Amino acid sequence: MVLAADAIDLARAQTAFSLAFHICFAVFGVGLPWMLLYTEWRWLRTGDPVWLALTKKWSRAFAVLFAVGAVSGTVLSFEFGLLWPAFMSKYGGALGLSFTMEGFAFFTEAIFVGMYLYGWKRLSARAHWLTLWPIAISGTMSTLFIITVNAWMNTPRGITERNGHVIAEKPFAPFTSPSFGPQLVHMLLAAFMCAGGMVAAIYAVGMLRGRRDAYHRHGLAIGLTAVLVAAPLQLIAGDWAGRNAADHQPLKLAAMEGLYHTGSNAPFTIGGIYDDKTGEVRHGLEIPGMLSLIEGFSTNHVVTGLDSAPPDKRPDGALVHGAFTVMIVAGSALIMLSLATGTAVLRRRRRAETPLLPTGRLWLLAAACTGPAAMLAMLTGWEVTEGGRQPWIVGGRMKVADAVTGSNGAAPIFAGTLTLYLGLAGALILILRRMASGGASGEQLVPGRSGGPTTPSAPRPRDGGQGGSGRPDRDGGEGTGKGGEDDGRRGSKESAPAAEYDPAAEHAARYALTPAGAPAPTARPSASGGSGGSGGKDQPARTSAIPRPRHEAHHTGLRLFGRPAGRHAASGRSTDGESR
Amino acid sequence: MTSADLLLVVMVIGLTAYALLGGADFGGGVWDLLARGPDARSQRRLISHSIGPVWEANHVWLVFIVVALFSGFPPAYGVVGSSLEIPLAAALVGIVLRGAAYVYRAYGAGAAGPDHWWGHVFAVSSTITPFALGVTGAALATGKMSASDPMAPLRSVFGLGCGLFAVAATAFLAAVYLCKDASASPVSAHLVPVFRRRAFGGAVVCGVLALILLPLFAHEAPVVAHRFGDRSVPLVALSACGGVAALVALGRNQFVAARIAAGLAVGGMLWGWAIAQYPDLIVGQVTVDDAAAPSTNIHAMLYAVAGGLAIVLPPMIVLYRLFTRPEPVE
Repeated sequence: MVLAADAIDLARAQTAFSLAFHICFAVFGVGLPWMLLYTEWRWLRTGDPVWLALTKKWSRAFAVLFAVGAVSGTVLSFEFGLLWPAFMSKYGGALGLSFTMEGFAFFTEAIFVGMYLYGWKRLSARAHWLTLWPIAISGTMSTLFIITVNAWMNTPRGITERNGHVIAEKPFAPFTSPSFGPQLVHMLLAAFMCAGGMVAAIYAVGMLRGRRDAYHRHGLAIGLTAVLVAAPLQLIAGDWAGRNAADHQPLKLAAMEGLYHTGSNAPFTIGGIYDDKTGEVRHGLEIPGMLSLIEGFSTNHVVTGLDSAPPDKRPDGALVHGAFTVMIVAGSALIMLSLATGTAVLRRRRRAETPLLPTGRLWLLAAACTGPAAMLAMLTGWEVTEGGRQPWIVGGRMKVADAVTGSNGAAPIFAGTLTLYLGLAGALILILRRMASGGASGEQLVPGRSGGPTTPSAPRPRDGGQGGSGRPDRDGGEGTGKGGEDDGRRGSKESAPAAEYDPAAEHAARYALTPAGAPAPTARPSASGGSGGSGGKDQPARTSAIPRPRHEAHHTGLRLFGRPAGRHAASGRSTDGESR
Repeated sequence: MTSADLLLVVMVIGLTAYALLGGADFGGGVWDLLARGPDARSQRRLISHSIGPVWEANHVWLVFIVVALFSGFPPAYGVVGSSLEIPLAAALVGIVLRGAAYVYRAYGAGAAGPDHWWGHVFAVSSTITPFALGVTGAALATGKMSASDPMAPLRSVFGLGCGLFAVAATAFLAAVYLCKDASASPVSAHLVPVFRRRAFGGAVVCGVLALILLPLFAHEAPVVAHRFGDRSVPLVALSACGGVAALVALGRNQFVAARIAAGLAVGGMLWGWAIAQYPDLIVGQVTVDDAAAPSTNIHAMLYAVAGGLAIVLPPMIVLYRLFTRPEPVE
């Protein structure tokens, strides 16, 4: 089949763009639920409103990211057929099981996401936390199933063809691909690094702007832990993936390294531009013999170069080597930051300094870079694995050029996709920025926003408090009288001194957890916060809060963060919480 | 019955679930678009509250159908992908915009433009998707589609009519469902008559469109129309009875019965079409036997589907039960 190169390039660009767009959301679907499991568990354990505030904030961000990830994933499942009809008609059967299982993982995730996001009031605190488990597990399993497909495209196994027709396929073929293991581990770690890094980045920026309360410190700590623990492990996983490529996809490795000449004593090259004509890497940093040493533990080890294949069966060395370099540089920087932070934490622990995480300006700047660096490494890593497979869509079996659609509509459809996705991404960034810059509750930064005519039609998600409608009812008197049953309810809460009194919230949360062990929890708040006046108020608040504890604590938490003065209280609480 | 036939049955069950659950979510968007009068705001709020927790789960049925199609009948998917790209792309635009606009409105707090802009995007895109999917279904029945002429499905009057029919059917479903949601809480009880009227309107539009489309159907898709006459009459009768029963039940404020009857009305129509379509997947181009993947793969798929449904259905029932009652106030 001879097609205009344009059609292939357009289809590839469209696929690459849609995949890149989707995966930027998918990593949060994998990483965030595990972090939410931790924050909500801490809240259940301690009743500390800081943990609740983090949980609420992240669940709101997760709601948006998950929805955009879900719809962009649907687009991908259609695009396989729209853009690569020949690929799907020939190999769709072989990949069917993986996609079916992924579909059910997605199903599970969507069902429990619905319960989690909208079930704050309908589920008990523990049941609500438990719904996170299927979300986290099925998000991770989705990654697994999708990786089996990609691994199979890289190194297909378990399929028999005769005269261009598939005559037998093993149902579990995708699971038997040798690339599956390393790719899966590499991608899962990458997902944790991206999600953790972006969380860390947001809180680091907040702290750089002077918001150094417990809310920001905890957020930063969780995000940084995820990214910096995963980074050194990623070195091992990446090495495994590289060795796997050397064994099963030697040309991919050659393209990654910009290695033209097959032979021993192969150099390891970082940076520079691979020149297709000369087969040299210009301006690169070359370590002679290193690649042979890494791959075969001897400089005599022969490494396959791009020259081993005819030009039309080679991947694009310039692109793949460039992407590989970016990934290596970003990943190495993260690993070094991981080591430096680890050292600093150990030293601070020896000196009994708190908080354990160093929060100097430079540390925060570095933390703010972890998210973008991880995302960049993840995207360039995908460019390496996809670009390094070229010109094949299924390694050694079907070329990209033979799989593509012959449609004339590719250009307008690609233009439309670009416009649509970039527009949605821009709007999403605005929304996430508002969420991120809003502190613990998020609404106080929009006091002047007028509720548009349809504002109330938007659901007020969550606990009736976080306010999808984002009405400015938290700052002083600004929102008084703005109507809505929600406002009225919160107003009454805020007027009650009990709502400002932390131990009341603590009571409530502790009661929820240990209904049987009530005596123990009662002891603590009365000991820690026995200020007379509010102690009396404490009593009714507690009894009413027993069935719906989250409610009480939640409002208190918001209240704490809603006002500037709340910071003191918040940080005081959280150290209290940690000491348990 | 071969394993490929069984997979096809499973797919039609999935399609029915998508139409009855996901379709109603789109229908809600249609009513958001058509919301007028002093109640418009509370209508939109009710719609938004009703679909919030469930639309993502309902949406997955579509992914399920697509995956089953390309895994079980890969060549059919190849043909569909290359010759129905325009309606499918339109459906995708609707899906993406609907989902994004919904969460942007619900969580955006106006950060990315006023909420009512996103509300309009939500409403318009909710209308596009069922229309485009209706056009797609019509093209499968007529077989008038080819890779060289991707615009063909949009030039067919019958196809466009089927698109409108799909929109009307989802709107009818949504109106019937919303009556129950509205009646569940005293805050929204005054909307019951509004949506009851809309359900009547939707049913009338569906009926009129069906009468207009029938002669076109016989003319444009003679093969399927012939089989339709032979096989599908009981199902069509069931569908019509369901529609009437839904309206009667609504009139008597029996909202659960109305939901079931409305489901029968739409489900009967879908199954009538599906049975008439068999054994063609795309009339004149691809049949079930031509397109079926090797039977070992289909067996594996069927086991995976059975296992998957066993895992997914219980929590799905919990999800719907959890959100049938209005949210506890305190």
